Amino acid sequence: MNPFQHGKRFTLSEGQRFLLLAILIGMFSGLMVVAFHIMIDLISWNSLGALSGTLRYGRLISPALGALVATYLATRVFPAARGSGVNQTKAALYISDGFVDPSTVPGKFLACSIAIGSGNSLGPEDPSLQMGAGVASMLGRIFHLGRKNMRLIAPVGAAAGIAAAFNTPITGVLFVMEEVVASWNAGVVGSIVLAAVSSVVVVRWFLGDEPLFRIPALQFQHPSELLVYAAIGVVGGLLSAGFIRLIEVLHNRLKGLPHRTQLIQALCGGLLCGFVGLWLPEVMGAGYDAIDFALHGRFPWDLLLILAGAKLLVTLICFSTGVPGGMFAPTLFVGAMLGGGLAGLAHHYSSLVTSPLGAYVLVGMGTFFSGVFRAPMTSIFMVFETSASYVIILPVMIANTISYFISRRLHPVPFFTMLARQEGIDLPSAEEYRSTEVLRVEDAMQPLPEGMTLEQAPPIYPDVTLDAALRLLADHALLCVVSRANPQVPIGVVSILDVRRAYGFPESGPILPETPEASSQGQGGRSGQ
Amino acid sequence: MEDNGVPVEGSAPHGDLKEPWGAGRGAIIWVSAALFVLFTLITLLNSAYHHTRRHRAEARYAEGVKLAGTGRNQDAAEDFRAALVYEHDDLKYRFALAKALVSMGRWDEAGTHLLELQQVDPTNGPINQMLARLAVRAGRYGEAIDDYNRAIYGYWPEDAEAKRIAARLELIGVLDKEGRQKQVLAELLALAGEVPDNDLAMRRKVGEMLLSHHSPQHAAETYRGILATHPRDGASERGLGEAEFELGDFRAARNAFRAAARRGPPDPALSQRIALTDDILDLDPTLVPLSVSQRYQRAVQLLRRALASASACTVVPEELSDAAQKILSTRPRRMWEDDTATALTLTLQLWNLRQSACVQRPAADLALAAVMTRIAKQ
Repeated sequence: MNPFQHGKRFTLSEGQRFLLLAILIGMFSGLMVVAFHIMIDLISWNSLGALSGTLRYGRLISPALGALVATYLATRVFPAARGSGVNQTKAALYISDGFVDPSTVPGKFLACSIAIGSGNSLGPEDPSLQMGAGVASMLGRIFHLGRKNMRLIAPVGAAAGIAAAFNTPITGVLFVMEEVVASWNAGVVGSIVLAAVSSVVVVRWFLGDEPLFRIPALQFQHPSELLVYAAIGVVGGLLSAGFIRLIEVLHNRLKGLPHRTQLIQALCGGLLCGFVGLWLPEVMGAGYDAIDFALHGRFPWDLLLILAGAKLLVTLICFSTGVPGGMFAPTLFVGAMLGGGLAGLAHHYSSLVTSPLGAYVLVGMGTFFSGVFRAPMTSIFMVFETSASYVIILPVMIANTISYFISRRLHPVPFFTMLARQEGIDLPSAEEYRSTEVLRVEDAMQPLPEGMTLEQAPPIYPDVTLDAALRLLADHALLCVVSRANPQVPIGVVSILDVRRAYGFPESGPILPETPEASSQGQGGRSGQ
Repeated sequence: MEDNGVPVEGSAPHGDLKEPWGAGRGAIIWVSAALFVLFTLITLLNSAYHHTRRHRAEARYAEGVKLAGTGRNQDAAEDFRAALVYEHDDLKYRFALAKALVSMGRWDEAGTHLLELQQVDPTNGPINQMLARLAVRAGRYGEAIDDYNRAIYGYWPEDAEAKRIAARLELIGVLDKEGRQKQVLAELLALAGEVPDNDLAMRRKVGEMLLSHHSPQHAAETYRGILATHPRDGASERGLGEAEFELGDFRAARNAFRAAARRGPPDPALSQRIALTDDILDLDPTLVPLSVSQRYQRAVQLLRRALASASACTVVPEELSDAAQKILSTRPRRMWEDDTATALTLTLQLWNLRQSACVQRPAADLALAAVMTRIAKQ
């Protein structure tokens, strides 16, 4: 039937409408990110010069002033805009039914563009993600979405925001699936992809389709180089765990100071950033230009290591003192400089390094990101997407995975979870969720008692989740586990006691809600939340 | 059903949109209007942004060019980098930066920029030429040859003909260094065909290179070509003389040398060449037309010089020396032909002895050597 037929009302299914809304969210987010990008550039050009180097004394003063104004805006004018964009989006998804305060969007836009543009060592991606989530939440409310769809709308906007910020649609989708939603949920993948693609299209329409970095021709020269890449992964993992710990400690200490010192803290953070910037202007702002030059071999290896250390320090200070901005760009910077520096060092003492330094800069870029944010897939695809080089994928996978496992081992609490806990919010950790084992009937079942027949208890398959079994056990004392291949053959039994034992609950008494610690110990049961 | 608090497949996103395109029609209009306004505003902002970017980039580029012109490459490179920060994709800025880096001796960094430029613009002559130079410097001759070929057959934004010739000359130098003489000759012949008629200096240079790469035939043709268009060019006459000399046509060589001498100021070196060809022509017994007695006289003269030359640097075996002395001291008989042949055979033996025993060839032996080479060829 022709939907446009005269007299007939044109209708779309709910799913189709949601997808169309995702496109709208992508377009709005893309426009916001374009404006954000332009604003940061304009502020940066006028306060620091193109290379963060032409106005020497501007470099000292500008970050401090920027930090002061931005923190004032974020704390006094737009208090809802404080905090991590990822955690706000997760809070919208899990706690506030998709509600993101509308003031978040202008708040993040103004505060972060001033902070980053004036040279503070922070990145624009997390604010972009949050603005995307904010725009999505607003649109969701305008279109009176129901509770379920409202909860989903924030991650859709977040994907659009981060994809536009990186100009990489796959990375945007992966990050949100990996870090925010934490599961490959078919219901939202389509919307997230559409939003990410439409936002990137808008960004490319205005800013051109140039990638984030201009990658020189790279090639993987010899398998022995993988040792160096693995070493970069090891150092990246160690350093990222240490970095999270330092942020945890410093952030906590500074949060404990009186509220009135917030602006002074930010001012000091900006001043320190400017002071370091007097000698190393590359560490100021997001640092993408410096990464680009490092990829092209501008810096010697010793300077690369110094830059990595300096960026680590100023980012730690800027972030911990509460200057608004994201952490993605600084982590990429630190990783890139670390990769190049370590490769240069290795080249100095051995013959293992045969590729140009740019290859190690590129691989290193993802290692620190992977270790800090515990998003290994995102980090791999981000490097792949920004380099458009398939050759580099193997070293990237090795280095990033090593970094991820080492960081996870040394500091089990992921970065965003740590921040959320410091804010007093208990958000489900994507990483913890991924490592959670879903318990099934076969994990609890007992051998079939002698003489027991199928007719004596309702049948259940061994691969059914214990949650489902638990619901059936509310009405029956015992379930008969039957073979999936032949349901006429009983293979075991399961009772409420077996289920309690499998979950690690006491054999009697009430079952208490799970604590985050219990969750991280690998026990199932989150599905009941 | 929910998992981890997130609605899972089959449960979302369905069923909760409250008539978004029906009762919410007003909302659609408002959102569309907002999108339109935002789009328009950002288009204007973006236009101003790109204008500013371009303006700032051009200013820094111009400053860089000025500094590079005064040899301040370090400062120029900073300006070019700044221009690139504003306009990442401008090939002109990147190439200027690469050139400044090459001037500063920062080969690796220049190389990465050039490789990136090559990816974007693989047929660009100047980029390929510079990459070839970097490859030569790093000893990667194979890569350099490929890059030079891409430069020669690529496009050049200005003065293409001269730049291609210059690139080919550099390629010839690399091939020569690599010992690929056949390729050198092929490139020289291609070069000879490319050089325009009015580029006299380059045509002469090609002739000289052909000569130095043991291709006197092609060199002679090149010089004759020059003389056809520039008949009074003394340098080409001299070049032709050298080519003819190498070819063993000493008479033609002498004529060319004399023509060159007539057209230019007195030149002792040229006079020496004329004297040498005169000497050769007086000594060579194979020249036609010569009478039998003249041929004999020259053979004896040749023998005398060969004996003297060999004796000067080695001990001549007694039987050989005695046989030579016998011919030199005996009055010629009627059987000129036999005596000539005997004298030449002895001369050849002495010459071979001298060649194997003596490393350096004295200047006085030049005529002898030329004649002996000619006789050996025959």
